[in-house]
Amino acid sequence: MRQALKLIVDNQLRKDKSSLVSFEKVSKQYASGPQILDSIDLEIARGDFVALIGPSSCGKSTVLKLVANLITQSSGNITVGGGHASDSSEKIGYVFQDANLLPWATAKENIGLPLKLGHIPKEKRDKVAERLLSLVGLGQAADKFPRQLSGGMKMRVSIARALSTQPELLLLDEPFGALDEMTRDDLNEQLLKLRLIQKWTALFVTHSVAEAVFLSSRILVMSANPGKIFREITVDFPYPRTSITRTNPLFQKKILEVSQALHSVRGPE
Amino acid sequence: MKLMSIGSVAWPVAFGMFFIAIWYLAIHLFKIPVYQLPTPDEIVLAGIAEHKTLLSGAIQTTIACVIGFVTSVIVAVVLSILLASSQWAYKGVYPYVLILKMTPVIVLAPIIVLWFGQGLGSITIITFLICFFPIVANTTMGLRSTDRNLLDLFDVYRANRHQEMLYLRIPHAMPYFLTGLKIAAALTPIGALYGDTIAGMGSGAEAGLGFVVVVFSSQLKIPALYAAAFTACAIGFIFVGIVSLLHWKLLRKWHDSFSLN
Ligand SMILES: Nc1ncnc2c1ncn2[C@@H]1O[C@H](COP(=O)(O)OP(=O)(O)OP(=O)(O)O)[C@@H](O)[C@H]1O
Ligand SMILES: [Mg+2]
Repeated sequence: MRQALKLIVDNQLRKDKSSLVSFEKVSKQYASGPQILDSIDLEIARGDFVALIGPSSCGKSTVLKLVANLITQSSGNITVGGGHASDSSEKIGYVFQDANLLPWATAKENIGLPLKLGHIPKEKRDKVAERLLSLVGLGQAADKFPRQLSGGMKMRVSIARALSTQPELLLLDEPFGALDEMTRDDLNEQLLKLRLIQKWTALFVTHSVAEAVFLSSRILVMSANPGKIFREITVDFPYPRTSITRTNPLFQKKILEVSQALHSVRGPE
Repeated sequence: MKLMSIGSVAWPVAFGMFFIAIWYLAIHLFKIPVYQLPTPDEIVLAGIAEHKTLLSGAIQTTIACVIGFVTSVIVAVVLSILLASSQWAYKGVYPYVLILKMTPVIVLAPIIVLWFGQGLGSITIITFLICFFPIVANTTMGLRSTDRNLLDLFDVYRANRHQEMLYLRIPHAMPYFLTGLKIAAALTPIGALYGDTIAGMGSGAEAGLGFVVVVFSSQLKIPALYAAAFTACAIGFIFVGIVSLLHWKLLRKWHDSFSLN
């Protein structure tokens, strides 16, 4: 009995302090294709904002899909929230590479979809969706369909949808890759503001060095063929970060450091 | 919110009037005899004279159309959902659906009459068969062609198969289904009229339009024959109209087949 109690307390402690996501020698190969990921080790602690950056098709999306258990690894171990990725009860929000909205549903209905799938009644869903809509600055667009929204607006709906279940872990796959730089900067700032309200842990895939530095506390630089984690760079600017952070010379220096790391991964062009 | 703009009505009307003018002109210029092409007024007069036969024929045909069409929609949708729900049902059954589809109804019709006898039953089944395949083929295609990313989305939120069908596959399949429905609606009167010519004999007062056409043509009542043809057209037009309205109702807000404004 005491043993069991101790176990529960231990687990609880571990849940609060230790890592939320952990990869141990994880490799991935699709069907009989080439090795995509090779023996990846990775730790994400609660509260981290981790950016994943690397050459095109080095396997960044694959890492995210493994965490979300959309695919399974060929070898190695993945735990999410202490449990096996496949039966983890951890709430995950996933922002896809494109907005990935249901075209037949309004912005409000799209945001409420994860709750609908979790059998939450409509009044509750609508309330959550309306609150999130105003949080991402789309209060007026509740009843608009995706085709009536601009690219940036769609992305905001997509982020609001990922936040609707109040996730512990937010996985973002190049959410702003298709947007112009001004919109992207703007949404980066909004994303950090949202994190002040809901304290999720983030794993963020991007191609933009500036974005990675601005958002994250840790940057993982990946190399390709097969995908490996080549280097980790810590970004220790305090949060909250705002547009003023971008003008800091140290910020520019960090961007240079990451760019160089990325360059050495890519090799001479 | 406008279903039809002024232009979409005015142009066909203007063109129709132009067409009728040419019709009269051609008859006068080339002296086309009435047994080849009657004038529009002769057709209207014949239609009025034969209105009883035409009306009862139209009613019979409409009954066959409605029953055949509605049952084919129901059976086709159920079968499509079944085919989309199970990979092995799809692999096992769909080839037979295709084979049946490629078998011309003309070949099947006499067999159907052998089984079900003359009359409305067989006519309805022939109509059913003609409507069935476009709906099954299109709906199944729609249910099975859902975007991989949206399926992943549903996976992330642990949707069960039932939710995936209801909230993802079925709405996604809607435009495909409606396309199939439109094709089927246009084919419906063809099925019913063809059914009449095969299974409508001897049903006397209950003769559908297809049978009426056969009778008029054997009696050389040419203007009445044309009137019967136009009546059949009108039934087809109403069917397609209703389906188009449904299409508009269901998709106008989100689907790219309707412009934004
Ligand atoms: N379902 C799949 N089946 C087979 N191969 C796949 C599959 N998904 C991805 N791959 C392959 O795995 C490799 C890595 O793909 P992934 O999408 O993870 O790259 P990425 O780093 O996200 O690229 P990008 O920056 O272009 O989004 C690619 O070579 C791709 O062809
Ligand atoms: Mg990717």
